[in-house]
Amino acid sequence: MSFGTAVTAALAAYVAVLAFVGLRARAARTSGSLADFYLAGRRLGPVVLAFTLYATQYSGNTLVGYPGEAYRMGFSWVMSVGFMLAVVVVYLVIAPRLRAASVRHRFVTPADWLDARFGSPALTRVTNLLMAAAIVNYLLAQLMAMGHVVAGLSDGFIPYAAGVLVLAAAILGYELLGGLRAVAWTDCLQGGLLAIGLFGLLTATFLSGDGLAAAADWVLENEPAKGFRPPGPVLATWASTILLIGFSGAVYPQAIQRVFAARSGRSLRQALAFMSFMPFLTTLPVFMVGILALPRLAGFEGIAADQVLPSLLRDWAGESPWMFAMCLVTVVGVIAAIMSTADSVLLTLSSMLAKDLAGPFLRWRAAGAAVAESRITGIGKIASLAIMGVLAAVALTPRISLWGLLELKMELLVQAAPVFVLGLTWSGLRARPALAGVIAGTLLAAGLTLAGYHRIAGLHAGLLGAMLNALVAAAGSLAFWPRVRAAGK
Amino acid sequence: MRPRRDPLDHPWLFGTIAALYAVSIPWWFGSERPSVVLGMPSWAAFALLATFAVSVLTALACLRLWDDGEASDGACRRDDNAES
Repeated sequence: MSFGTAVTAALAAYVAVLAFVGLRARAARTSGSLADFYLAGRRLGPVVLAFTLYATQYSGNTLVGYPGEAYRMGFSWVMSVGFMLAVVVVYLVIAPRLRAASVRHRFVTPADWLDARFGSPALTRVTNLLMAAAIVNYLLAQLMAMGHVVAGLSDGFIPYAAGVLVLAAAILGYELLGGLRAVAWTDCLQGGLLAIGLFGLLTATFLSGDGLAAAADWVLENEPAKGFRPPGPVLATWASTILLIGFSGAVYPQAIQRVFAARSGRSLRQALAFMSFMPFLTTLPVFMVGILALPRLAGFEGIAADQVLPSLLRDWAGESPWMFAMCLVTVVGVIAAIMSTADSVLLTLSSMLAKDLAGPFLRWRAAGAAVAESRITGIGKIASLAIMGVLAAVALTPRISLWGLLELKMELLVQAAPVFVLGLTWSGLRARPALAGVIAGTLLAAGLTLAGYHRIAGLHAGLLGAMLNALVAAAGSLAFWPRVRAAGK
Repeated sequence: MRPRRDPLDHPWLFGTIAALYAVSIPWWFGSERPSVVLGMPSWAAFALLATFAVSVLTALACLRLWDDGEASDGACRRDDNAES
């Protein structure tokens, strides 16, 4: 059996298992409420919570994009371990207070917290729009990754378009059946497969006969720019990336919803402690794969960054039956990781459209009378279908690399971070200055990016925007502060 | 709303994490050919070790310096499934 045929058969079996999980999750639902569909009834225990956070945070960008970045940048990509950890560090700042507030106010979406904290519809809408725009971008990146990986690893047996469409339909299927319950349960399966896949990847690495030390010696000898200490601008970008990813990754709306969905504070604390070590079990192995690819793929000129991992796996699979099996597990693990991120993003987008956009409109039409939550949940399901349909169509004409898409997302998402971080840690932050900060930061980041200045002195446009954002919000709030204190007295 | 114990009440924690991140970026390594340690150039190996220290500190802070004051592992089970 060829590797491409084996990949196709393994994927078919995997999609069948996902459908079964979706049906089980549907049977486990307790009502048609928003909390039941979008937060699994707020009953996620530590194990499921840890796996769903893990599967949400680590995605196609991690597994397909990062080996390519390590291949392109060399050892300085070791920074990826630090910046993925920075997300958990920022959680340490915001999660305790966000969790405490959610227990009291029963939040469903991040906008609920914004409403409760600031009471400003304008700030809530702008921040929500920003987060939605960023994660739409993220979902698109996942769909493209599905197509690339399936096409690359099935040796063209499954074309790119078929990979995108079939897996997108599978995600829609189990998500519409079971909401977050189905997503979290499949995340456990996907997280487990990802772990086995990474173990397979490491095994493949060691069995292939390429040692990391030998690869390091080869890099220092043949491509010194990728092995010597990076120059100043790269070091500035290293620091900038830690801050950019740390702050933007912590305000992923789908991750914030998992803070609300935890069964208890203890479950959340244990899940985040688990997440503290995941960069070493996930990002580090894929970084090592990218480094090992340097001597291995030295003869192939112009290989695309997104194709480094598929090229290596095809190469290793031909070496022995054991390697064939390990590479097959890795492929399914990689596709599982991509799908697990896509399903979480889709569900969160659907909740934002249904609860934050359609909900108030329905209540307005009902002239203030109660609107059944099951009706809003139904609208959310239709929104999921529409979002997936449009983005799958866009993904069929890809024009940008995966890391490029991720960076664009982060530039936008990080503009929501000052509202959350300052809003949770400083009672003096006021709504109007916070809104002015978000607008100023977004305009600066978008302006620089559109003008071609993605980085200035190594610092990302998004980070510069977020610094301006925080400065405007803090300075404006301090100007209000004497009045606020006087009112308090 | 504040938790009973909050990591933010421990400034030393975030100071230490910031310092570890600062030293994990190899500003202070020379630009000559590095030796190979743990299968990678010495500056990359050092960056990994400093990052691992941040991991350990973060996990300990999650488990030891944060207490929500939620009574038990079922504190969030109040029924909010009733339709409004």
